[in-house]
Amino acid sequence: MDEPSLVRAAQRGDLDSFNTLVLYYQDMVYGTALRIVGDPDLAADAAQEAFLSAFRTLVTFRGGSFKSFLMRTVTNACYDELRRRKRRPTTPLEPDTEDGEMDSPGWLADPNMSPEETAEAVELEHAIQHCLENLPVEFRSVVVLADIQGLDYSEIASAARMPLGTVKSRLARARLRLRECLRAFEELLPSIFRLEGEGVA
Amino acid sequence: MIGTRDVEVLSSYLDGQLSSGDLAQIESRLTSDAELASVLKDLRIARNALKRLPASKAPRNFILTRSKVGERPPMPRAYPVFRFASVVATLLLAFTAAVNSIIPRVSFGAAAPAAEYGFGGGPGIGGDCGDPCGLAPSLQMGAATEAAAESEVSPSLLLTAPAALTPSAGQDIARATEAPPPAEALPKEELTAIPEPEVPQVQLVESVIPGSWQLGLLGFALVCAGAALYLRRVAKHKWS
Repeated sequence: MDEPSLVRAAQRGDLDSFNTLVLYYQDMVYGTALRIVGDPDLAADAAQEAFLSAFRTLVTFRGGSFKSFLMRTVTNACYDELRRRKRRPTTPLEPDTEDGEMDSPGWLADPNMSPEETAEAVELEHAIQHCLENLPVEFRSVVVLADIQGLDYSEIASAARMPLGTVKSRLARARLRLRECLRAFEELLPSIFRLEGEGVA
Repeated sequence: MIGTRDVEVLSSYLDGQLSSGDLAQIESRLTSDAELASVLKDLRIARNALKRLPASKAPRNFILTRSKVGERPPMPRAYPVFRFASVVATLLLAFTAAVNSIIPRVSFGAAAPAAEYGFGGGPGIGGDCGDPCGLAPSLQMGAATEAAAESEVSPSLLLTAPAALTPSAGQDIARATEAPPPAEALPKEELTAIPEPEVPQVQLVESVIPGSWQLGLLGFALVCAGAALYLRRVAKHKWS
């Protein structure tokens, strides 16, 4: 995919070129939104709004990382969704399962995993999401962009429109808070999490 | 004691974002400071937990459609012409309807020679006016009513005078009609001879703007609007 030429064409109003970019980035955009807002429906709304907003504001894009531009759009859309949800809290129509958890998402169904492993993976994922949602939203977006989407510091600074120093500070504090929260779910953390990469940066 | 600055440095160390000088310094501290090493371990656990989260797939495609982004299909050149023509025809139609309803042409029937008084050429009271005829009727009417009141002229004459001719004339006539001479003052034969006052028959005649024009405008507006709608539908169909 020739991203720069697609972006240039999209800037001229070529919707097909923009849709090629949408298809390439939609998983990343939706994943980011899901981790920030924590609700699949809200995340889908935020992702759709982000792409729409990106297309409308693409003329203001002056080169650089298109991924950062898209991440900035989606984090802004997530902030808007969260603000909206805060103003008008809603009760989901679909009932929760008996143990109070939502049904496992389809993407977790790994055919190689035993039912117990699948259940543990779901629990761990819920625990991490719970800890993420306990973070302030500014910290959450930084840690999602860095540790889930793998953006480097300069890309995060561009996406979040904040100085590099603020990115470093927020990321460090977010990780520390996450660790504190995850202590309550210690038994869920596989040993590989604790041992992986020890002594290696 | 681990400070905020140390945590930031450790976090950057995990991401490989430290300069060579800072890197050497933190590595030497890590070998001697167990607390610092413990914080580094905590940060690493948190980071690894997030990194190993399964990637989520989009539940649907988020591709944009032209209608979603608010793009409009390119319209044929004739479209704005038809649209404008239909709007103009509709406005004209509304104007003609307003004119016909607000300014109807009213004619007083047979008992309305009085309508001619307004133009100063009325027979009888005004006669040939030698003065400017615009002023004459009211003055003459005033004089006529006074004379009528004094000489007990039959009220039928007064009733034929238009009340709306001029304010002064109207008032005079009103006074004259409100205070008729006492019946006993009139001789009996005169009372019986007084004919019934003729009520002016108001007739609405043809409208100012003929109905055929309005029908034509209506038809034109409908044809133009229909053509514009058809062109738009065709353009949208091609666009999608």
